[in-house]
Amino acid sequence: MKAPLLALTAVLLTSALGSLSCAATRFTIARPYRGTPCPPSEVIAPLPSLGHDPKPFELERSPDASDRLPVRSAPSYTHRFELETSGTTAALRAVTADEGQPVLVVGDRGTALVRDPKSGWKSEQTGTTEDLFALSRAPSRIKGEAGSYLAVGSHGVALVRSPEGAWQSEATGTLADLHAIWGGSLVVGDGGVMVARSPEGSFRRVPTHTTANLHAIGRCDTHICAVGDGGVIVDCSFATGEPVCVPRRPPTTAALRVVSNEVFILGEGVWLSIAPRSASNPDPPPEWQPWRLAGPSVAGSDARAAARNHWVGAEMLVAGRRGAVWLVGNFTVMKHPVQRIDVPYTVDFHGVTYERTDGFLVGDAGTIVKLGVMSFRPPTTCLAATDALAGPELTDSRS
Amino acid sequence: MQILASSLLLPLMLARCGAATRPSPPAGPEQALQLGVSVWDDTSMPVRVAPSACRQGEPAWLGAGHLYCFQVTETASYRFELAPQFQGSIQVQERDREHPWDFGVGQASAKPGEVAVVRVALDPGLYQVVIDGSHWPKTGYWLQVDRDTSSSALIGREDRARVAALEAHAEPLRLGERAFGVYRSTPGGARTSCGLVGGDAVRRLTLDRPARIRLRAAAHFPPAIEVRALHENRSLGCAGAVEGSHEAELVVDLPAGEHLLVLDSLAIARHHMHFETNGIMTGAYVVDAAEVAP
Repeated sequence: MKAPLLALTAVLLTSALGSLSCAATRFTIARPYRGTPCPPSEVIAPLPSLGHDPKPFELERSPDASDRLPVRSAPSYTHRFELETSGTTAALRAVTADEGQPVLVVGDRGTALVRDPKSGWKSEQTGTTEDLFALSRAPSRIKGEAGSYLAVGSHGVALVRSPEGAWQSEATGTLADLHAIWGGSLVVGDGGVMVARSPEGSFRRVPTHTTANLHAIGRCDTHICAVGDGGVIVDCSFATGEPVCVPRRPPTTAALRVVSNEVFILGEGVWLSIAPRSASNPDPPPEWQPWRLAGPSVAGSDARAAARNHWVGAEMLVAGRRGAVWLVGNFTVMKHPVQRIDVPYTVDFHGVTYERTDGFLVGDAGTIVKLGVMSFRPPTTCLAATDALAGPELTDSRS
Repeated sequence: MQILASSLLLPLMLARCGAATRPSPPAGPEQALQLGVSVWDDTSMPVRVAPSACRQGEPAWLGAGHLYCFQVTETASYRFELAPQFQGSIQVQERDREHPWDFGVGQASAKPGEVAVVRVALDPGLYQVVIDGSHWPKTGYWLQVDRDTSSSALIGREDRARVAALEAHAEPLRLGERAFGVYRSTPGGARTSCGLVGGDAVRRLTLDRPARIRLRAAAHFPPAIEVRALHENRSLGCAGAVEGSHEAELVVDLPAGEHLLVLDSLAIARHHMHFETNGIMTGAYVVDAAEVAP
């Protein structure tokens, strides 16, 4: 009786953790079925290396390993960081690597780069010498057309890249420097400027009721938040279908630079998370407080960009000034999820992307660092619909 | 039976949208449904499918349930009562303004001899009231709807004791500074004379001399702002957001002394955005106060 009980306990624990992971990471836990183990899923390889870096930096990590729950083991992966030659010395500000789309980078002096898997980074003509600070997928002008990107930058510049790689400027109606984009449609910048872009490419101002410089915008709980200098957080509700934005009481005086993962706002020496709510149904707008799990490595360091990997243990990649890089593990099961990585780079990083087995960090002096997660094997679920309806018989795969 | 008898005394009239379940629907145009309706009906007859004003020509097919429509012409709190002779339930549904679907905005159930009550704040529009008796012995029920004037109504008069408690804990509003807050609509809460939904947003403004003050409010909801003499229910000025705006501005000459700023909402929450919240509105606001030249 003891073995089946142990097996059941293990399955329940695994299922519970799997459920946690499912909601956050879109993959499920493999489990044996009627004595037949699930066939292992195939290893997903990262994008092939360009071979530019003779000494890649490697790190072994287990982003799902719990130090709070009695789980026997969690998968561990080698994280390989390697420099890639960009062919430019311009500061690179933003990077995207959407599945099925080319890896794109934009930066100062109108720089735009696209990564060829074999020949490396190639420059594209953007037709502008303005600095480009942000890059995002853009809603399609034409139904069915996919793969357009929106870049914004200094003096209110906005450019749209067609799937074929042609860049075309758009009039934003502002001369303010524009620093961040959310959803390809909301853009924020200096002086509290926020503009909303229609799929047809027209822009209109959205009142923010602040004059602070806004550096980032993203999902924060069920709202959208723009953040900036002086701890400003502008909370935008879409209850009426249109953005209605109101500043919140600043929880810090530090400049805030990143909105990430729906529950984090990062800035100069401070990482914030959502405070517990005092009321619900309907939920009030989120309140922000210093994240208690941020750890000591956050103080004195400036985070500038973050991206969350929905596959590899809900891991978040954060980068900032003076070569600061953090990997944040699954904070639902870890006591100390934030790990500062001593990478062999000292430049200021401005942009990151990280999904599945691939990440990129871009920064000053044309720096591009590729992050590859090695030996990643996505967990699977065994489905046997007919038998499952009759009642699955779960067995311990060790028996 | 007492409840049923008292129902008859209420000046109510609620007619069914269509003839979805009546054995002998009246010929001619469907009856208009008005506030203040009392209906006796039963669910024992076979279900029929018929065009309905609620459904705008779509079949009103509800299994064994009964469907009524209810036209609201004024934003207010409403009270729906169902007294079934079976274990029945009532659900109030809002028609989506842009899509062909409905949202349940309130529901309740009751055993025989009990009354199921749905209290909900509603905006103008067309609503459906569904009586569900499909799973129980099908017998009669009373249904009535009226304005909700109880102390628990979301839209109603201020409760002076509640407002006094808010006044006692009101944070100061200082000239030249921005006040940040989160408003939540509350039955009996502080309600401006030009607003609609009372809540918990009050601030204390102290002036050591008479001054012309400009107050600007911005909020996630359409706000109204009012200045009162502290501890007095006397308005010194009130202004609300214009249609479609989420900002309000009030310029008012105030005497020296202590004043109370009240901020509330001109709208309830859209139900389809806040399912089962009875229209409770919550959202962030800011108020900027400044002295301006007379």
